[in-house]
Amino acid sequence: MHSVKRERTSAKAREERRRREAGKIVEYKALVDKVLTSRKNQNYTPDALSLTTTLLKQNPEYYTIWNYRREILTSIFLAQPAETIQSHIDNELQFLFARLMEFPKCYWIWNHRKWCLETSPSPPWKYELGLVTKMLERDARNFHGWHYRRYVVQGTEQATGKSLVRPEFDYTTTKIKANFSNFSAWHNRTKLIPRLLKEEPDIDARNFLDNEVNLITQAIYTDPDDQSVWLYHRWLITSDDIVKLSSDERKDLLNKEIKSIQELLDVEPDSKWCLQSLAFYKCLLASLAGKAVESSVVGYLDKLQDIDPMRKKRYEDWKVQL
Amino acid sequence: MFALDRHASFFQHSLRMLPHHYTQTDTTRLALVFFCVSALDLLGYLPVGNRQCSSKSKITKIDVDHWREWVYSTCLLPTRDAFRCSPATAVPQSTSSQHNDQIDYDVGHTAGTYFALCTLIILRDDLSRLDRAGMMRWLQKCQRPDGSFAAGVLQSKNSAAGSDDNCEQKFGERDLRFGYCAAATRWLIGGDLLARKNVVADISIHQVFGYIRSCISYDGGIAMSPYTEGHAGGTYCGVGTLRLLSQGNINKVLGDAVVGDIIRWSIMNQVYAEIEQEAESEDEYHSEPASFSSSESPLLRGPVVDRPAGFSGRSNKAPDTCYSFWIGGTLEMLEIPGSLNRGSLWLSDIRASVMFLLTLTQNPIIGGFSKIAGTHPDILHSYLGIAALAMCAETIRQSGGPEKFVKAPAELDVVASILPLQPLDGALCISTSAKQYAEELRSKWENE
Repeated sequence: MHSVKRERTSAKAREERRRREAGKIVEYKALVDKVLTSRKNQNYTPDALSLTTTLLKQNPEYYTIWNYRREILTSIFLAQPAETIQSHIDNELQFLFARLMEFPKCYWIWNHRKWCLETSPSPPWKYELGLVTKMLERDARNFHGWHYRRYVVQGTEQATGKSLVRPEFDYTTTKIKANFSNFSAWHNRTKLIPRLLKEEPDIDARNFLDNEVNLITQAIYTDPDDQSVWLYHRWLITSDDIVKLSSDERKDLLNKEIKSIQELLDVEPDSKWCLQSLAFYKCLLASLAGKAVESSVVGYLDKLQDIDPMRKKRYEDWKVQL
Repeated sequence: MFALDRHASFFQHSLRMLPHHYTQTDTTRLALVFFCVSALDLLGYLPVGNRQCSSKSKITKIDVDHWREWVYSTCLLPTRDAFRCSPATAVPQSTSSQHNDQIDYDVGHTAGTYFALCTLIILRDDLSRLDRAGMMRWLQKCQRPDGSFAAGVLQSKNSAAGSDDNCEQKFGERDLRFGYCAAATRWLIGGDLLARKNVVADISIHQVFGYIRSCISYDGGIAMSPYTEGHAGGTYCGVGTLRLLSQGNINKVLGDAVVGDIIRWSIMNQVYAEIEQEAESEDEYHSEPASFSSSESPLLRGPVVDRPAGFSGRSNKAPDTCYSFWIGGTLEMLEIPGSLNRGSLWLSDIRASVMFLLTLTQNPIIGGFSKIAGTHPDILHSYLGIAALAMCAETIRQSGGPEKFVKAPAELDVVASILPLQPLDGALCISTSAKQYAEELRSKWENE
């Protein structure tokens, strides 16, 4: 008897929930109909704008409505002086800011923001850079944020005619010094360095590389378990995008780094990243020198199978490929 | 244990009605339909094809017909050459002749078309209602000069009459996803066959390859777009596109070294679950805590090497259910030169991955899977969790059985419980039996 009663209650509760949800659906659909009818009737007035505001607050992903909103704004802006337009745009930017706090990953919100900047008589690029810096502080890995940052930097450069590659590079340095684990900052650096070296030709590229290697080595010694620093190190040591090294110079660099990592391994014998990197660099060195791979590599791979058993099969496969 | 029947229930309920916090997904409703229908297919609950359907399934031919007709009636454009991604974009146009320059927003969507075609194929529709040549012509219009694909193309009303190309505007984000959808669409409708017969021109494959190459990141993964970080979703879309366009000759297009890097990057993104994983700000759909107590896996308290391990989407991030599919699928599609094993999924730790999904993110009460432990299940993560498990099941079968994938006898039943899942085709993300049906259609078209 008890189980029957429980069943009835849960069925009743389910029905109650279904009714509530159905009610919300009816309301939402009514609002959508109203907005779409408004557009069908060529309504591009401030009233229509408010309608879209209400709908977009509920569903910022409804991209057709953002399109309609832009149509309305364009119509309102016709034959208006710059100050009126700028004031509308400033309101839009405020509206969007609130939306972004709620939905930081919604592409259409970022997109409408770009449209605002492009339509603005005097786009507030400095303010935008501040905004995106704040958003990246909230979530350093939000790649919408980094995308937008690159867009704002580009916009600023076009508006001022001055390159921002040096301040952007310094920004990544600040982020990294605050937290070596900031993968997105290291990543951005890989994009900025080639540009920086091109724009400031009086920088000695080889010297620059050596300084970067020192920086990343500090990071590695600080946190040898962090994947991002090892990936950056690998890029520094193997990339042709920083400075073109001769085969001998490359081999020298590899040998130097192998020695450096070996020292760390002596202190941290179970560091899987040390072992992996040593194995990889020794294989690379062997292929550059046209020699056979050093026998120590087999030892590393065996050890890796022990300490990183999740990837046992991968290390086995690597041994087979040697 | 894999709660197969609960999951079937979850997807069936979802097809009937969704709670209001799905409002933001309304513009991709067809994606949700695809996830539910395909999940039911993998769970063996659909009465389609020649296989035996589960005896517990109450789904009938009437349901199958209803779903198929829903896709056609709400999402196929009148021109029959593309699908919408949702009925939400079937926006009415002004009929007044005064403003002829009003843009028509009711256009085809590359992702919607992919979801529609997959759903129809799963439901064994023969696609005869479509203008397949017209669809290829539409796909061409969606391709940008840099090789990437747009979500769709807009044009204003008065330009349509004079077909003035200058009034056309490609819309949507610029990344690898729509290229994947375009490549899959082209294969599913036999677009390559039509091109070979010179019925239509093909999309520019050479440029697609170029765009994908430009997205390869220094960290070994493929990014969603140039300049961004290697990303599991981008990697899956890039590799999947290559698989669908190059008849599996991925190593030829990318080179062995790059393929090796992608495999390495993918494997390195398998990470152990932590005991207390906080929901990151990413989870905007589910800010309230789950109303049930999450099944805290006792494995989390044991030695690290025995812990469940899911996959993360980018370096240094926490594991999330859906990446078991994006990375699992990538590995399934990549071959190791000289290896006797199929694909490279076997390089990962299958046991840890299965345990992550079954003991941490599976919801055995409501059904479905959540993104991370302790949050509500949602349709996307539920489908991709099941798709990932279907690939693990196939690897287990090919390796000789679940005994090889347990650390204790008690785990045998748990791991074996996923074996009833239908095998999945990694490149298309549909069951292999649905893919076989698509191949039969292609054969028929080739001989026409």
